[in-house]
Amino acid sequence: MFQINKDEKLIEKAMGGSQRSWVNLVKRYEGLVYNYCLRMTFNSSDAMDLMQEVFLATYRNLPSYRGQNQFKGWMMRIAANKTTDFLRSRSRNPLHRAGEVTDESYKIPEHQISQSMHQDPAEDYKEKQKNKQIKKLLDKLPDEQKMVVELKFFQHFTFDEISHQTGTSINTVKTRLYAALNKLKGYSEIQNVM
Amino acid sequence: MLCDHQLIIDHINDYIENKVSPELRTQIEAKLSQCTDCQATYRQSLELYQMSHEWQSQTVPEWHRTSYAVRPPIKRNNWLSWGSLATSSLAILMVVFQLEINSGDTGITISFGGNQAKAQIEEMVSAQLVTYKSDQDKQFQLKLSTALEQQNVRTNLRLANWLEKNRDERQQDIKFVMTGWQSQRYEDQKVVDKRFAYIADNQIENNQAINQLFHSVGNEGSSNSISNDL
Repeated sequence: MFQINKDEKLIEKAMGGSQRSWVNLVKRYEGLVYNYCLRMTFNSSDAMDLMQEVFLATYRNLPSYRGQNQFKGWMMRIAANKTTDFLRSRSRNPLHRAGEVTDESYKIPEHQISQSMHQDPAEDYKEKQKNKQIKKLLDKLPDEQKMVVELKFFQHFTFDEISHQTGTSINTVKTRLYAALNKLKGYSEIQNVM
Repeated sequence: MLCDHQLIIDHINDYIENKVSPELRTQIEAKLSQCTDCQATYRQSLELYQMSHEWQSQTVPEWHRTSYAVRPPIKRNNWLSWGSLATSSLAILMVVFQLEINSGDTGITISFGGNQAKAQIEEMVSAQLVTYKSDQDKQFQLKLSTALEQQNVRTNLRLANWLEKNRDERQQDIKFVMTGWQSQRYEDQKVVDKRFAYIADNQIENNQAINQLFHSVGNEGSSNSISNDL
């Protein structure tokens, strides 16, 4: 509750022109948004671009934010819209190799290496492999199912909130989730057999 | 009994996180024991749930968080705003009262209403007119003297040309007259000579006739005396 109240205060000050408040607000949520974008795009560069678009849209739409202590949900709705647009435009790009999660696409930018690397290289490798495995799994899903899985399992939103964020009915959300689970089930069985 | 899997889909996450009531838990577990699809959904959900916790959160690369967003408010000091207000007011008053500040030989003059400017403008205009007039006079005199000199030169040249041409014509005329006169004189001389010759011939004939007459009419003495007189 304290954190939510703090959000509201930061938003109020940011709308009044306070740079520091906006930076603090961004710092609170940029990790969440960046990792969300990373799982949705499978590419650190795209994730960075998408995250910046999300925060730009968030800032521009701040005057239309009605409060009610729902900033995270409101911002994630913007993120969902932006992600949908981004994936749609990327799918139209012939240069984009759809459906591939390669080491290159998961490459950590050089300026980030020093921040993200652990002391133990084995630990680094393990971490990288886990994230890569998750990405590969999510990559098997169509974009709309992937988004429902992301919002349900990684962001822990309710069906009602997901419905609000994606602009679809609750039944559609449930159907997409069920279809996604079935699809992943088949993929997991294949993986287990191999 | 046919299963629509709805119960599992609706509450599977809460069930995995132990957030369901005991009654609902019992219902879910009963459903899971009966339906293999629901079991598969549960296992896949559990796997995804575990994966979500295995995700290693990535650090956000450094980026500029405010370049696109917050415009820093313009800070203005109070003295600056008061100063600009006072300057604006002063400028308006100066325009309204037609304040004039002039610097001349006598020093700086401040006046209101614009009268001084009018008088000064008239004085300046008259001074400019005098200067203009003297300049025009000088230019006129200069142009006049230049034109007169040019006219004199042209006249002298024409006169010299005319005299030269006239002298040649007169010489030619005199030559023509002299030639005519000499030819006429030669012709006249010829006529006179011819007449003199005729007269002389006639005189000779007359003398001969007279002599014959005398010879025929007179004596020989008288005729000798006459011929001697002749």
